[in-house]
Amino acid sequence: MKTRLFALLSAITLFASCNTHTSTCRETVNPEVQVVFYRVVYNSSTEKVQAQTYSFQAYIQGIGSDSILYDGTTQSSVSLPLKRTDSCTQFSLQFFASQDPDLLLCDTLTFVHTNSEQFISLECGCGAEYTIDKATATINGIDSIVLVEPEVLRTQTKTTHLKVYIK
Amino acid sequence: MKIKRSAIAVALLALSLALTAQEDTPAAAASPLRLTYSGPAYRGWSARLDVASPIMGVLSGQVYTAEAQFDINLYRQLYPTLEVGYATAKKEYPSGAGYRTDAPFFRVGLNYSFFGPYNRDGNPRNAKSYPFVGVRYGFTFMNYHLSNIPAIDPYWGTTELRDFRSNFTYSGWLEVAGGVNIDIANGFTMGWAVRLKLLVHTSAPSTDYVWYVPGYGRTDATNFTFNYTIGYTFYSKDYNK
Repeated sequence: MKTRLFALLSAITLFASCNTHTSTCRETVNPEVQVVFYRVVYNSSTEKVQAQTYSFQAYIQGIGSDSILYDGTTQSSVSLPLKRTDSCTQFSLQFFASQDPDLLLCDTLTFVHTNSEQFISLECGCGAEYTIDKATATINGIDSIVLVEPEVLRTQTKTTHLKVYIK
Repeated sequence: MKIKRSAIAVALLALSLALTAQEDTPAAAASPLRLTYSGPAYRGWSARLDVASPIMGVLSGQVYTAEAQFDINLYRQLYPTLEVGYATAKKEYPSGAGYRTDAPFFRVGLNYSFFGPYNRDGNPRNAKSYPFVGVRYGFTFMNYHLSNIPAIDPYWGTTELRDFRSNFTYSGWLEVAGGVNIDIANGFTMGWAVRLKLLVHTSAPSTDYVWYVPGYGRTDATNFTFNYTIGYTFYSKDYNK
């Protein structure tokens, strides 16, 4: 009787020890540069100039890529993927001038960055992280840029890396 | 779901231990006479082979483990334990990414028998079958190889494969065990134990690098494992005295 009881409990315990698992990656593998657009406006009530987030129709494409990142959708912020296999990434940014809706302006955002890789898991593969060493922009429609956070990390959420001020 | 299964297993273990205690010793409560034990400390030693791990390895098709357990009976109640084994693990994904490891592993610890050296009436119990709880510290010096790990850049359209390899990576873990050992006949023993394991440290860059640690198990899940052992006990000559 005792032996049978042990055999039964052993079999049930063996079943209970099994684990279920998934092979789906739920981690951020390729973090992107978060860019927020601003426009400097004059506030008549306070009689001061101040920067406000600026939403506009943006056409953004990585230079060297066939894929369009943003196809004219109205944006006040965008996420830009840096190259994992290169230390320089450029993006073409096109938008209509705020004062002249028929005037299409084109600027180039350039990032010089240092890349690092970490193994995440068998499901996710290798993840990338970046340090932006330098960010520059042409100034056709862009007034200026400010690099706020040079580290682009997988663990960041809602971190603004670059502020772009539109003329 | 996993937690529910673990809870069921723990409940079954507790039930089993209680039933065993009831069958063998109606008055198994702690006795103050236990403190008067004056016999020799050494009461024998046992060698056991785990037969559950190899079977589970064959079923999983990913992990192959062999392990042996040795313990010494001290004071008829304490069982210092040494466990040695060897494990190989291989995991491959359809993408081609894979993990491979092979290494010996060791565990040292102590089992405590619920059956003390004396019955409540003061007579020697001489129990050869006993339920126990125990603790272990396990460690391994492992080699691991992560191969064909993809580094994918979906927007820029590049994919490169990486390899990560390390030798002599130290990993250590703690275990809490509970089970029974039964003398079937003339020293031949069988037993089972369930174990809850907790990985406490590894010299790998992170636990993500070691999908499987020999002797411990998978690092991405709570390790609740099962051992079923057969073996032989060499009792001391004066064991029955």
